[in-house]
Amino acid sequence: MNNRETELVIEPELDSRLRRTLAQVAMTVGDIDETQAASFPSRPRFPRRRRFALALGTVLITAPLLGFAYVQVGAEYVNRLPTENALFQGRSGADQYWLVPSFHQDSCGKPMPGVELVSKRRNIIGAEWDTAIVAYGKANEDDKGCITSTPLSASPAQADIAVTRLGPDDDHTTDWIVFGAFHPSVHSVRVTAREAATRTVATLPRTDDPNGPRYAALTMPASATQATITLLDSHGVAVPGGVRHFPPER
Amino acid sequence: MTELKTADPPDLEQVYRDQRTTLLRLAFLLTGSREQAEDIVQTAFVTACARWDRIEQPLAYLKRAVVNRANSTHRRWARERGRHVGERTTEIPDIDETWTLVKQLPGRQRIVVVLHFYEDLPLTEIASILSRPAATIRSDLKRALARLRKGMK
Repeated sequence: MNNRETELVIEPELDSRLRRTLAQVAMTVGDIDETQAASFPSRPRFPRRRRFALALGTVLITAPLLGFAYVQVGAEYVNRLPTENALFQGRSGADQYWLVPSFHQDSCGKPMPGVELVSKRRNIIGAEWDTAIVAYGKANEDDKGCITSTPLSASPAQADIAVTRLGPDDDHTTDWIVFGAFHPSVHSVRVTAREAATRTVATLPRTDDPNGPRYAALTMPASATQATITLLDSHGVAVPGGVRHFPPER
Repeated sequence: MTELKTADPPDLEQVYRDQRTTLLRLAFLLTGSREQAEDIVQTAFVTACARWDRIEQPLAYLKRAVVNRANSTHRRWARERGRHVGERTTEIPDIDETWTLVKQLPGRQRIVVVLHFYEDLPLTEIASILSRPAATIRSDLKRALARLRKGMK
């Protein structure tokens, strides 16, 4: 069920520049120390990594005394969980999660549209952010990658839905979470799965955009192997074309 | 079709000779450091040695090992950012400029960029390698591209 509806669209110039750069840089490796390649190493050399690990271990012990001054504070590192404006929140086992207005920024320093899923166990203070964004509508960007507008689609059947597991990466015993961004006319979503009772959850808009896209989040048991998500209007009637299957049907 | 599956040392050594440079290039792009790249590739081979007879696709296995070790290294050295000594690169201005921006990305974002644009992997396969949700990988790539665009202004 680890799927997303679309892949990213990347402008050709940036795509080409990155491919060319990485290929050229990679080619600079190869003329170094070829003598080492003559025979397979029977044992590892002394790993430099361990020396760093030891140093880092010492730092970590003293970190609480230094508080946030030690933690690398910045847009890409967790310094606090911005949960105060959460649209949804919940618990799953030892984990807590929130669906909050997007707080990461685009190339121009403006907040990204949509909402972000923030899980406590995946976002430890000082580590890199590990969140996922869903946003409704197709963002228009200028030539610098700055989002200029995010017009709503005319079709209420369109949605941006993600399904993922909560908790650590390699733990397949944790619950699933379904979250998405929907057209303003979608007031609830119904999730059905063989392994769980059918649930319907109301969608909510961001408080700073009450007439804009609406969002929802809910969990499903870890044992679930598939799910069907149905978009419902304000009368609880299914939106035509508003059914999604996870994993997607081929 | 079977690839190298025997435990004979010559096969392993042959793979080492044939693929070491390929793996070093990948590891260098992932870490930005030749020293780390050499450590990671060497450790990947040594670890693979113990289970060599069970590995059906040696290059795929070794690449995955390199990526995961680079990812682990990024997590461990997250607070070492900014201390890397400048490495010799291409001396082509726009390439070096772009490479500098790529190196400044947070570790996981850089890994996603390298796997997508150098290894040409789709996001779902990157998600599988890193054992992360595809939605998270997509967000990582979006953020990485936003940072790169900003830096290229």
